[in-house]
Amino acid sequence: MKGMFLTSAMILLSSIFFITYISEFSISHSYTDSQRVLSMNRFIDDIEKDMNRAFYIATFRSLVALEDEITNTGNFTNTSLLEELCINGTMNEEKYDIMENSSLSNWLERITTVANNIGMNVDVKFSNFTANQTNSWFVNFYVFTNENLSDKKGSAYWIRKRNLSTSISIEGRIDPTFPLHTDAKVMRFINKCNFDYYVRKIKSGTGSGWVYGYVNYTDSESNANSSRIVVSNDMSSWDVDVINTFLGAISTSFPDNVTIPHATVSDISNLPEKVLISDGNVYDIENLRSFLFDGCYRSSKGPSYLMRLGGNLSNSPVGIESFVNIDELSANGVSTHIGKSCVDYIYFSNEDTMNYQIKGMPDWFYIDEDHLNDYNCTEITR
Amino acid sequence: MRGIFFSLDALIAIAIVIMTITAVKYISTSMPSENMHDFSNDIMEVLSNTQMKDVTDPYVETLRLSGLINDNDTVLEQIGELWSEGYDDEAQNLTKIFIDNLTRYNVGLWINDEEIYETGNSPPSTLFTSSRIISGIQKGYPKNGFVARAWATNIEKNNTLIVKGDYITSSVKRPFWGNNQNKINITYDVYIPDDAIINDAYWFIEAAWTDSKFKAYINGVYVTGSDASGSKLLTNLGSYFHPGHNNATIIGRYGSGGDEAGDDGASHIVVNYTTNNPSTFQNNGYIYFSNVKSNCSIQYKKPIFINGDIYSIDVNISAVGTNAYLYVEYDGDKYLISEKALTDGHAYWNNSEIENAMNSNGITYQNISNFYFWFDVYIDDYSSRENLGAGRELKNSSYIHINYKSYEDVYGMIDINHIVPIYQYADNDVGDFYRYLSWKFDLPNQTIPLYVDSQLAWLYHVYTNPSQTVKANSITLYEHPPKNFIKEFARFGYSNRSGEIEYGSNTYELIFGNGYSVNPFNSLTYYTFLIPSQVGYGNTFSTEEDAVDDAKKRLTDILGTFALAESIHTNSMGVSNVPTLWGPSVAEVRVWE
Repeated sequence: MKGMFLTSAMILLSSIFFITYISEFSISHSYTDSQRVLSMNRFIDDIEKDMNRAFYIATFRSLVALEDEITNTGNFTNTSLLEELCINGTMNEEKYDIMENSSLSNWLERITTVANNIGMNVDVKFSNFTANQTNSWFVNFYVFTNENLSDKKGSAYWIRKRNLSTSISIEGRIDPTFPLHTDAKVMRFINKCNFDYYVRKIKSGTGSGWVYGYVNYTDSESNANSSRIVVSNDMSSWDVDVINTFLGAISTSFPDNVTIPHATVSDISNLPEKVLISDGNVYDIENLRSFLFDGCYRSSKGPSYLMRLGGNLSNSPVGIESFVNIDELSANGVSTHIGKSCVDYIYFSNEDTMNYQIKGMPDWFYIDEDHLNDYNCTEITR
Repeated sequence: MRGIFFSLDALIAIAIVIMTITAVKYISTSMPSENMHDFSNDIMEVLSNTQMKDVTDPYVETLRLSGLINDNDTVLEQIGELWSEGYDDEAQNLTKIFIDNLTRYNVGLWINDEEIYETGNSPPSTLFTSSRIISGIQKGYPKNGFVARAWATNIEKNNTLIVKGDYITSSVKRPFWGNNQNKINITYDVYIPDDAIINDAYWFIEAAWTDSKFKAYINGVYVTGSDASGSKLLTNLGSYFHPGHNNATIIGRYGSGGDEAGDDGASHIVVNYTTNNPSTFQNNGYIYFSNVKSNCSIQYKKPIFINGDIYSIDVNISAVGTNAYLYVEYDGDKYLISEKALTDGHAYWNNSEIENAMNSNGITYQNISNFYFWFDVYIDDYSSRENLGAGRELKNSSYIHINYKSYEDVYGMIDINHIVPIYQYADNDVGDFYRYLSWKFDLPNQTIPLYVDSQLAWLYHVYTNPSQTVKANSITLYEHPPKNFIKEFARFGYSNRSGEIEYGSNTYELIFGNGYSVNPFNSLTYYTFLIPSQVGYGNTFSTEEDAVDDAKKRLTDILGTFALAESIHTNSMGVSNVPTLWGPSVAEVRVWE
């Protein structure tokens, strides 16, 4: 009996020992395997996040590269080259400096190296690359990825298919239309300006003539600056000969025989620093002038950025437009065409349009009939 | 009994010891391991999923005010960016906020095995890590940067304008003998850039016949000393010219027996000037005739060299006279295109008429591409001896329009002409005429050669059949025989098709047999090349200023050799926020005890 007890105790203790050892061993191994799978899964998550980042970087640089090539060579380029640039970093199978180490292939190579170091195989195929615009200011890029990732030990594998997408702003990009039509002498970076209006009538009144200039508020003719548009509440008692030496005048009342451009308005308050007087009305045209002299762009029915890269100057629902500054062209030795509409895609095309000079703008500045309303200029044509 | 008791006691003790050891081992290794591993993963999850915009720590606020925080980044990305851009302390402090005082274990963050921050530095007995990859960052390199391009808008270049005279004659002798009193008036248009500063000018005039006399005028002003016969080199003419459009007129007259007066095609005007306009090359395909007036019929031979593939040609003649003839001369032979009556002073040959006539004589546009050929225009039936008649005129609005594709694209290029002085002459024929001539020039790297052109003061002893050989860098460009003999070897030009013009040393040689020679002193050889007026986007820099400086330097390096470095005016623009696909970098959270 005692022997049996002792034998049973030995068996029990041995079993406990054996079971404890085995269970520890299996827990350890299953835990390690699961942790490895989890690690690999996290790595794959990393790859996916990183691929989005890489796609953004590659497409951003592709766009810069394409713009660079067009500006350097003077040849409009097929935007289908964006795919080759983005994926391979080459243009027509030639390496392109700005894409060095910045293509999806480069990224894949490096990720593969990292993956190999942790015992994984990575195989990613890119296909169905597309670039389009759904609004004026961004280029959208899409690519389909087919990802095969596996543990080198064969314990696990992942197959994923997904679409990557990103959008790149065109603000700050060179508009290739300008260098290509000016023998690379004039560059224009896309500068989006948001104006609620271009020309705004700020005072309605009566009068004649037109003039644009600085405003000079004064209460007496002796203090008036004759090189400016003199503004005073009531000029009816002023010497008309003095008034007629002014650049222009705005008042609630004038004496007879005023021959300079003037506007008789009911209220002279709150005039901006510069105004246009036209046929008795007072206009603020500073936004129109800024749009011209600052090289601004706006959304329009003109050609889109992608169309401009391809040399296509026809209309688009996601287009942009700017004004050609004739002075800028002349200063850079570019032949000019006075009388054409200064709306860029019309100026640089062979399109014949009915064009109008605009009061308060340079003599060389014309806008075609279709754009008069867009720039609120219908009342101030010359 | 006692033995059993002790044995049993020993067994129980062993069992307790074994169980204790096993339990301790399990607790001390397995469970803590899981905890530590989970802990490292949890920290990594927090760092890589928390957006900076959600972090409101006071220290982060100070970084945010300093512009160092990108709210769209995750904390891990932000730490990576600070680290890559050299803000090591900031990266450390930001890490500290998230991992300090979390656990009794030691915790740290490493990027590419470089420590960012660790809570303790005791050597690990047990270590667990969790890692993430971040592309787009690399130590010492900004995540986003600037690229810039530069272009020359206003360089000061020294250039040479070369106006080559054409072969233009009219009779000055009556049919049987003596001066017919005619004078031929030839006016060349000389276009100098509007902004040019004229440094020097000279004019070599060679009359059609060696005895015929002439006088020269520039902008209507008689050129002192130009009343001469045969030929004359007129120097120091800078003051006669002005920027813009100039006229240079030769009035040729009877000499001492020669039939014709005019220009033998070797005359040339050379104006050295300085301009700020980078592009002075004219390649619009319109080649205009000079104005010629005479009271006899007029012969005008216009040499043409097109360094490109010709697609079409049309010729428009505006003239005073009765009819006009158009010939083409190629490879020493001359073919009539057709004769036309001048209708309202005009005669026009379209491309079909010209191409068909040339094809019927075995000449294609391919033949005349990149090889001198001539269009000869006669106003009225030409004769070298005739009586003084009605006034005739070939107007300078007359033109040859050639539609072609240049071998080189001149877009965005600065064009430079360099005259090449004679290098060697030998085998004297007569006077200053030699049968062997060579020119040498060095073409700088980074340039694009357009062509070499030469205008040759030639001499031919009639009734001989001398050989004519032209070589460039030992490549034979023309050789008679087997090719035709060219009587008026007044021009030769070539472009680079297969090594004729190379970077470094180049040689251009003329070799003639007995009976033909060229005067090297009155001949003119020059080459035209292009240099880029712009450089594209270069490397990515952390500041716009550095990117622009780099772009300007790259442009200056190209232009400096050819333009006065201090006068290169560049414009440049940078593109900001250009991301770079650095890395990937590996971020690692380590937990150990």
